[in-house]
Amino acid sequence: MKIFLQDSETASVIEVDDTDILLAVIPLADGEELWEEDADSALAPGAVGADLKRRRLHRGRHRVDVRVHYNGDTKDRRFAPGATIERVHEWAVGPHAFNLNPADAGDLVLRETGSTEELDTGAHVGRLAGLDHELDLDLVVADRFAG
Amino acid sequence: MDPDEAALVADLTSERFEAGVERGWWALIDRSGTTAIFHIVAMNGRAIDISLDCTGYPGSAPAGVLWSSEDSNPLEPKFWPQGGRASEVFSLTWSVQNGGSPYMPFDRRAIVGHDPWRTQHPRHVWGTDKTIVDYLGLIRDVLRTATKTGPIGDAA
Repeated sequence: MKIFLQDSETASVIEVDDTDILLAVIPLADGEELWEEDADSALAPGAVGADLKRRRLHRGRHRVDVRVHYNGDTKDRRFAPGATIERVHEWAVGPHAFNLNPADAGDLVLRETGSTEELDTGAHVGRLAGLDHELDLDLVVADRFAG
Repeated sequence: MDPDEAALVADLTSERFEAGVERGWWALIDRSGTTAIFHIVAMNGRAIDISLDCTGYPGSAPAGVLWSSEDSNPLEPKFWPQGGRASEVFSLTWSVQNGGSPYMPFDRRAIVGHDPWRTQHPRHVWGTDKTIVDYLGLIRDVLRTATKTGPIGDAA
């Protein structure tokens, strides 16, 4: 089976068997763990390919403290490193953060603070943060095409 | 296989494209040469099909049209997603008058006559750093702003 693997530097595709113990076949550095995408906790040591709910993993050491800035305010939350930008967006516009109505929320996108590039919504926060434990994002109005 | 078709096929097997398929964000429904039809599902579950003419890919941008896979024809405007940015990109004026093309800089037909977009929206203008995934991703992003879709476009 194909596994889509991200870490602090890269995104890649690897092949594993359903019966493979993932921690045995995916190389890890000291302190690193495997996290299913958008899951809150790391994989159990004996997890095999067939145990995965999603075939998307993150290889990393740390949870990431994400700060989202919007309209002069900041909300923060610690995410597992395999949390996607789409998951962060869902939290940021939701009732536990800026609590925006769906129409306003749909017009907003996330960018890394100081960047003008919109983020790949499938990127993991652990990849964007690199070796840091923190990530600053701006919630901004998406481009409107007129003229 | 011509170079543009080979380049398209290569990007349809890329990690970014296949990861999106695995997430349920999009799927390739059909491909004939450089014309490919995709099913796209937004974060809020709204879904559409789109046909992309990728002649000259990747040197030339894809040219899109919303598609009815049921009828094997362009989707009638009365079924287009509307609301928020969707009303602008699936414009019931410009897009209707221009063969159903999405009104956005990535689109090969829409960029014609809209040179200011190149400086106003450089990250959404087609270039050698872009792939079919960027086009699909923008359509998916716009689709989530829609408050209305017709019966064919609704998610199952």
